[in-house]
Amino acid sequence: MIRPAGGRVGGALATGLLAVALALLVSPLAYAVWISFTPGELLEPPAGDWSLRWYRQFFASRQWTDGLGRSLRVAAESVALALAGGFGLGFAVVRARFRGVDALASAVLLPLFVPAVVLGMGLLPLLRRAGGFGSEESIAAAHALVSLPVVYLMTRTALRDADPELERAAQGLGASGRMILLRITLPLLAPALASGAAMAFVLSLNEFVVALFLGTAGNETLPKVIWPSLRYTLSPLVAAASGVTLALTVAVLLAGVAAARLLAHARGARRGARVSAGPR
Amino acid sequence: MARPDRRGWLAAAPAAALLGLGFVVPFALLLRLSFCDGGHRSGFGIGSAFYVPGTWSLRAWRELLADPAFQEILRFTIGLGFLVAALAVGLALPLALQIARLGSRARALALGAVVLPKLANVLVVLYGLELLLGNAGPLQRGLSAAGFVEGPLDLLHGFAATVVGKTWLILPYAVLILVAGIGRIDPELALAARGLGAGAWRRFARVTLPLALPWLALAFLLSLIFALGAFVSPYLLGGPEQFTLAVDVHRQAFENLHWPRAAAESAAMLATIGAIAAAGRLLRRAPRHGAPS
Repeated sequence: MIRPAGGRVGGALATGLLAVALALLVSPLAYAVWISFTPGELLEPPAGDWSLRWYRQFFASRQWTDGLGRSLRVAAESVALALAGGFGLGFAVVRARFRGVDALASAVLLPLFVPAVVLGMGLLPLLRRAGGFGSEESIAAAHALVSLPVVYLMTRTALRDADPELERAAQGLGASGRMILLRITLPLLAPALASGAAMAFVLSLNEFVVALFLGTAGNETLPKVIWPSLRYTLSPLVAAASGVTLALTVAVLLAGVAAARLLAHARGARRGARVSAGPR
Repeated sequence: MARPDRRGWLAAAPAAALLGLGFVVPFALLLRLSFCDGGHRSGFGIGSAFYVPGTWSLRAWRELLADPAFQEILRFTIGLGFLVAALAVGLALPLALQIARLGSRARALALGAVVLPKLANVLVVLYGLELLLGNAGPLQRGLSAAGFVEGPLDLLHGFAATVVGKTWLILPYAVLILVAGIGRIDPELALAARGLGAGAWRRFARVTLPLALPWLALAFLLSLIFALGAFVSPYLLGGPEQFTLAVDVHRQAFENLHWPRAAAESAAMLATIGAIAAAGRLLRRAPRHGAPS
């Protein structure tokens, strides 16, 4: 539509350049994964045959698998917190407003703009005094603080797009508030909640700085296990760890997209003729 | 009217609790901590030897403001932030212009490639960059094979690597904002300009760019705010000369075990970000001249 370069040749050239730029953007990730398949001890891409040697070593080590398991648990906990907080706030802002709800909703966005180091440094003394320092839950809660605004914004958008007539109609037919929530509102929001959950999971899985500040030997998440190896050792094992986190990240994101589509489709089918692929 | 009120309170309670306990209370405590005595740094890791609870002292702040090393770090952090934000927005504009004109499927794919480095683990992105730019990496091997350079360039652990790493991490935000902004520009305007005989560059310079300007400003402001928190890139890809405020907060807390100082630096960091955000708001409110005519 609007572009600085005109003409068919110019357009093709621009698209080619864009593809190169995008490939460059993901090249550090691709290169680390490529190296993870090396059969040798050096940080070189596999010359001929690819090997799973470093992945076997990753999964044979207690430290790495413990870190992975802990990361997954922390991510799941933070998703639960972010969903509860984000859905509730979105619901309050769109459907059950009260005085001060907008101020609360703006305040909830603040953690997005505060450097992770400051978040970590803020929570450190509190957890030290109040107890809970070194627990998985402390890291999960801190991660939820950052993913809550994401889930809230997605819920709010979905609720604003949802037709309030449906809820009113259910009320007119005599449904209780609880029933409306469970049978109408939540199914309408299911796609947004699925995407939000996937985002929150990935944000927590890959979060490093807060986990560094709040982590002890007893609650190391995977990024915190990667950190010292990244600084002090040079072994393709870190590349394998990178491959594992990246595979998980992409898998969860794709699962989120697929689940959101599926749920939107189911909703559309239930609603019959109404268009399911309406404005997001 | 009382019923929806109570429902709203109930629904918003988890978010309010999380924000209060995870954000408001910690920051109040952090501010209070910056006015505590530094403590004796002998009891490593035991109890609260990193500060003396209940004391009032201006020492951490006085030391901080008088310390030339801190002033240097603050200057460097802000300078790095401006440089990275400018680079990110400059690189994001052509990318966003191209992405905005793609069809919806191709655009989703392109945006996926843009956000992947952001959603992936920071450590993995920077590790990959280290491997690519390192002395044994493909870039330097390619350059020396082609005869451009001889011997290792030592690109890592310096200013250039820090800037490259941080820009890599900030770029996705700038692209997303600009794609959203450019997508809102009415395509009819460019068509009208074309109908009036304006060439491609003229259309870009006189129609698209002025309309995209507020979005460029927003992208710059947000990139700057995010870049001011730079921690992992300077730590991993820079040397001691590239230490930023965030790196110093970590050093004060975990190496010097001087928590009041770390708290004061955190507060200074928030104040810097707040000041820049406020300045950005003022500038955005100021009357804009040179609107497309």
